[in-house]
Amino acid sequence: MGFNSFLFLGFFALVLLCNNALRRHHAWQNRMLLAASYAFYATWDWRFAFLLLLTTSIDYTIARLLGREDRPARRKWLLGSSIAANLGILGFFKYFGFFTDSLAALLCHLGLQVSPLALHIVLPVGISFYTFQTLSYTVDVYRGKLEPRSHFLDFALYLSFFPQLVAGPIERASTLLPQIERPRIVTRAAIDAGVYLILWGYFKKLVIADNLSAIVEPGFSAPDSVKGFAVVLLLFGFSVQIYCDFSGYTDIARGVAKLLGFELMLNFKLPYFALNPQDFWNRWHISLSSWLRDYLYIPLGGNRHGQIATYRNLIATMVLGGLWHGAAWHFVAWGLFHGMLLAVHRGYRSLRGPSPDPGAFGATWRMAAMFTCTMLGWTLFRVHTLGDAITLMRGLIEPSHLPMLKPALDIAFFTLPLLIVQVAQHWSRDLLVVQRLPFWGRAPITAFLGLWLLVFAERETSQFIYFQF
Amino acid sequence: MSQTPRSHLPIEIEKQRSILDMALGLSLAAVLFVGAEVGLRRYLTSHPSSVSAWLFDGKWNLLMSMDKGADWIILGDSSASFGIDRELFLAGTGESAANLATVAEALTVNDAWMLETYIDKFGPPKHVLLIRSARQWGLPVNEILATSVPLDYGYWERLDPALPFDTHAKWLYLVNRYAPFYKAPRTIRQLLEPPWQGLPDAAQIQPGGFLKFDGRPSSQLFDSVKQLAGQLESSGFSVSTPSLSGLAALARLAEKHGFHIYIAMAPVCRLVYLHPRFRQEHQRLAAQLTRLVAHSPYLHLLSRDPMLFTVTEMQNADHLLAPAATRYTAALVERLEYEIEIWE
Repeated sequence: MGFNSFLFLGFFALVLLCNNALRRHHAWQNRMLLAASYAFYATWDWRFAFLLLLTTSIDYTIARLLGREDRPARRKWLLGSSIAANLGILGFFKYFGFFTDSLAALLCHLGLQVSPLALHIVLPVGISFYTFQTLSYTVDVYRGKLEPRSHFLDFALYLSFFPQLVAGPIERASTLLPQIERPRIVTRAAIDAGVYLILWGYFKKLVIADNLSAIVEPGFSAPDSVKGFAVVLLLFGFSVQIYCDFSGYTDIARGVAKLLGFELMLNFKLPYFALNPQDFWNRWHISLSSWLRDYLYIPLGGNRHGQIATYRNLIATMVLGGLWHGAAWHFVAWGLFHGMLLAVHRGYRSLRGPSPDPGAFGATWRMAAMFTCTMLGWTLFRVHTLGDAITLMRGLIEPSHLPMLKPALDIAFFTLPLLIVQVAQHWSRDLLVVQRLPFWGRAPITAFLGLWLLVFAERETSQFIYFQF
Repeated sequence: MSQTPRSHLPIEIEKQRSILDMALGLSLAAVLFVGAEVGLRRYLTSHPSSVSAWLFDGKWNLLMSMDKGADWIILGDSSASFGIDRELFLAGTGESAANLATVAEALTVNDAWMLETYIDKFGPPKHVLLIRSARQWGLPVNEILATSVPLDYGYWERLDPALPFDTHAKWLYLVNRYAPFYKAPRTIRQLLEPPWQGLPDAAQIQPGGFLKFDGRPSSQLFDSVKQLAGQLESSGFSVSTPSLSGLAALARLAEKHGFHIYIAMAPVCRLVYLHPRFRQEHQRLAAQLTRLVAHSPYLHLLSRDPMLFTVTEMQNADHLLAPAATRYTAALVERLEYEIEIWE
């Protein structure tokens, strides 16, 4: 049951009604949300719900044991067990095939013929997201930043809360658990913002991302047929598509959560307005990048052991971040690319010192440069194989024989509403800038979004890109 | 990783608004939304989203706006709309006629629904002429057209043959009726997307529902011949189940009210008829229709063989140009006179 299905709309309407009916019975409200979340998850495959329950039980138990244990060695062992169990499950479902295939290929390269073990493992949707979420809870309990929770159902809801279960944001226990544990009040401002976020999220996904997908998909399916400026169009189209697809999902998730009385973290802060690689990762998939920073980069040593170690940590963190997206070498390459960008930027900054205010022109130039780097990075992310990425880059310097006016106009047409809204958001520094308008300014925008959804929403909608991770 | 000052990053500022302000915003948005829907509905009336939609809507609108009945009711697909010369038909039969033929995909189901609606309004006609192209008897129900009939909710169960609508079809009916923005998204996209070409003005339907095409043969002819060849490759001609139930409903109406229905084969391009497979399939269909009409004394197949025309006489594989329509009408009127003498 994706967000972009009529079934979800019916499901959410029902949940909203029940949530409202149970507003004076907080415990029952949580139980209802838990049941709804498991039902939502089971619509993909009921077996996944048991896997989620297993993960929940493991970390609930280990955190409780951690709460009672003072001996450091024993605490380390408990944390290690949690990490091993979670990464073991994730590794089995997500990376088993990748590692056996890669090993078989390596052995074959060395002259040893082995056939890779094929188990046809189905990847449980959202497993990467909820595994990181549950790991952050156990690690925070281990670090003493968080008290272990005694109420199993509350903890189960923290891991399974349906708006963010399958594609994030990867919430921290310290922010989401208190919201679960306390009675919630849905304010008028939250309803207003929630409805707008849902509408804008659907617009980004169904109107912009799905239409751009139809334009760029043929290009990525046959990369050797795309040359010259067509490659630029292709990469630009995909850059907008993936942003609208993922941030559209997040907006819907956050809007839905707001209507239920929850506040989920911001996952995107106008990433294509980033001035440099570091700024980009402060704006793109923030819940993942901050998770990687807090639970990987800093434990690896962060920037505390000199320049070389910092670069190594940056690159290692980003490579693992790339691998988190999927079990394929092109994701590793994408992570490596961003790790190197971060390292180069850090090195440049350490040589030049803190940069002065670049001014409007300088900022625009830096944004364009960073956006170009991001587009190049998306090549590695989107292709099926690294060979396809090389083909596309080679094609960039060859003349194009394809007619490009129509796709260029189409891409511009679908990107324009996003650009207008984002420029306003950037200038105002307010992501809800549209909500600041008086009613006579908001109403045409609402009507426009509704009408465009009716006309341009692809009837055969595609799944959200990040559901595969 | 992220240690630069983040003051430049945007945040989310929720605004506490009064209920009045929220209500005004929503109401104005709703007014604009509905206004755009109404505006588009009007625009699409004069600028049809497709020839099929224009013909289908146009003929139903004609039926709903007729203030008196006619002796002849012509039903069928667009070959009947373009194939009958109005003046010649009226003069030849000496009677009044209303051409309510729509499009192929509407099937005989729609013919039966239109005829029943007509009878409810004016009583039974004296005769009915049904013209359908051979290749289109086998089509399945077109959900968009079946749900576009401008009658009150539930017509698909009230009229004969009943066509059970699933939830999706019922949703489509409501959308067709009240949300034109959703109805024809591809067409509306043409309007809104660059290079912003408007829709062509609707051609005029002549009084009584007749159509006349004075133009020259176009590339459409070759496209439709190619399409036909493709159809022959994949399947033959036969009467589909919905077409069969439509024909049975027409027979029931004729038997109940005592009028005769004459079924004619649509004109065929000689070039197409030369194709042995086409000829074979056409004959197979004609044999099937002969067997079907034998079940009712009120159904009559005028001829098993189609009337043939050269490529220069046709607009496409089914539609005649005006001069050829005159020839087709003359032949049809002559045949009808003969049949009426026998049966009536």
